[in-house]
Amino acid sequence: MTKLTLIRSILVIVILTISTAVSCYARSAPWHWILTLRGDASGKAMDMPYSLYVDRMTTRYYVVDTYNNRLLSFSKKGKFLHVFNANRTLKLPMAMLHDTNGILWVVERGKNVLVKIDLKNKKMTTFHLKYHSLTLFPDRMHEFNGVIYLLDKMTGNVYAFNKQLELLHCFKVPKSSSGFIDFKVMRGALWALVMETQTVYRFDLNGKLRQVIHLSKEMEFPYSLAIGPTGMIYIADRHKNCIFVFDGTGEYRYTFLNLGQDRGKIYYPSEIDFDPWGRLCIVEEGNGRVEIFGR
Amino acid sequence: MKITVSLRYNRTILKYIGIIISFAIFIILSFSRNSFSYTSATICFKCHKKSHFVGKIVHPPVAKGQCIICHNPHCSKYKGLLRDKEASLCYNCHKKYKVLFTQGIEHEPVRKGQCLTCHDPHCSNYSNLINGRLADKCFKCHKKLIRHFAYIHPPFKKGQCVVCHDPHHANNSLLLKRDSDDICFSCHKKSKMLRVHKNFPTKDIGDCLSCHDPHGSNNKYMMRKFLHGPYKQNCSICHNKGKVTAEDCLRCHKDISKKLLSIHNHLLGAQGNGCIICHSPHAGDSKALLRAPQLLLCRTCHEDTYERNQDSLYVHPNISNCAECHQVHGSSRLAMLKEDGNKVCTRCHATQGKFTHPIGAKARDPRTGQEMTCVTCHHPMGTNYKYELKLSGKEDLCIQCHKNY
Repeated sequence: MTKLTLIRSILVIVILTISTAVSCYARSAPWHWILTLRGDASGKAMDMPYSLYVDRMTTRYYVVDTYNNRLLSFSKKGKFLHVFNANRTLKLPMAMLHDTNGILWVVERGKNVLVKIDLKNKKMTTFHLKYHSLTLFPDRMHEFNGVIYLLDKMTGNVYAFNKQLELLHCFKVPKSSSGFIDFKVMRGALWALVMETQTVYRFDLNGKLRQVIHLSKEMEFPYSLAIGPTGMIYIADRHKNCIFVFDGTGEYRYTFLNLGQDRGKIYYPSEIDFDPWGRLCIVEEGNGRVEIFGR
Repeated sequence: MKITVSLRYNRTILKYIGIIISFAIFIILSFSRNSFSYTSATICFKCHKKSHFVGKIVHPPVAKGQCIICHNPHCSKYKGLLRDKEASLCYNCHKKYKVLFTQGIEHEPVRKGQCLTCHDPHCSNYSNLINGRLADKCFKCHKKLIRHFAYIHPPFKKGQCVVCHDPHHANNSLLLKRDSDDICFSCHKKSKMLRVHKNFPTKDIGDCLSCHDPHGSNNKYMMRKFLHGPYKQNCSICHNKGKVTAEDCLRCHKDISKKLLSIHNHLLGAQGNGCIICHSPHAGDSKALLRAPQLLLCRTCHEDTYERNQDSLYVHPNISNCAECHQVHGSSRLAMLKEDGNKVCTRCHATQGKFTHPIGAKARDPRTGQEMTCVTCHHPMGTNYKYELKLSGKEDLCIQCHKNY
């Protein structure tokens, strides 16, 4: 009886130790490369891809291949599917989204417009966006619950529009001369990054500032942010070519990836984001590809 | 009897203890630097003239004759028989500055640990052990600074550079001690300045350096050399309806508007007018009305790029002229280069453009499928490999692609 108890106790301790080790490993496990989205299969390599859009409904990746003036779609497994260039009318597309009504919205830097493409009716409408009579320079774009969020490169503010492009809210850095460099809409909030002060601002979706997160580790050129499924903050450093990871309070946790052209290396990352399957996608302008990492 | 024996015994013990303590004191004293150096200084001055170490201000270790705090009397791998690198020696005593100076942007000699560029480690007739007249020290390196003007700012005339500049480090690339307006108003009372700038377009006067040259000028009131057209004609051309926005600037500067329609531009996401971060809206020392010399201006935001490359063994010549290769307003190429990674280089390196490793659309990098360009192998900003190669050209670089070799 005593022997049995002893064996049981040992087994419990061993199991507990292993499970703790596994969970710790899972929490800090190195990210590993899963797949790469490359343009070669379309007959032309990507050139300066700037952003990525993941369509949850169709489980497709859309890469904005900016310098080639086109959008490329890929399956969840990374298989190349289609090229779309709106009959060669796109001029330096920067960001895109595909809304639930089947409308494609594209930010075009070359014309400084937002384009609404009705794929079913093959109709394109362009919008020159203004705010208080000032021209906006739309840059990054996301959609949540039928609201389009656009980052204005001129002021660094994020503007929320409805589908009729009526302004709903403005998200701006309070009492500062700097604007946002990137933003994401995640977990019912808008998270925006200020490069100069290395700070993340969390707003509710009505434009009210809820939290200011000072990132504790000094970075070189923080350019894009992503919010992980567990609330961790991921920052892509464009010049240092790595990803910094912080917890929800801005405390530094770890850094991963480094400069290079080989698989699993990055060069001039322009955007990072999580796909619906918890994988980290990194758009690399320098290497002309999107690399997808998991753990 | 017993008492006598124990007393004698105690005396013997005390004697031994006394000898041990004396010996210990002797050992400590003989190996302590102070006493040893005192002897060494006496010996040093037998050859090194003591008169060379006399001045209004003498560095305390010198005054105490502690030569060997810094020097090894026998041998050293450092010049002047120094015990360590010069900055390391200084920071041994001036500990707080070691951390303090690394904050913000360091003055070049400080960054390189060359304290003796400005300071004399032994003695000086100038305060803070400066090894000569302060302004002379500054102008020895800052040769391009114009020194003679019709109207000279008194601190500049008197060589009091440190009135405005911090010679060690600052939070700005001009190494200004504080915000430039704060510095100006510390001597020029704001109330008086408001009186003499009657038609100033805003209630709060400021941004003095956007019109005035703080060193001097050949124009009255130390106005800068080149004036912005509307500023020369009538302030109300721009200041007619509240804040002047970047869009107002672009209304005239249409050529710049086009450049902003590039993948990357320098719109800077500024809450105010992004243009005036780099350009003065009123007057400047160059036609472009830049607020500072180009490298210093670019470093304001791109200090990381400067820091990463400045100590490289091989750096591209003329690196301080950023606009030579980069399109500063907007570009659709990587790193805001003027053209792609081949064209931008072959403008000067014409031969390499014709005869080199295959480059261009037909030569693809097997790792990424990207077009091979000069910057696939070279990093012109600076590397530790010859020809600014990214890795050693003997083998490491080539096998990145040619793996079977």
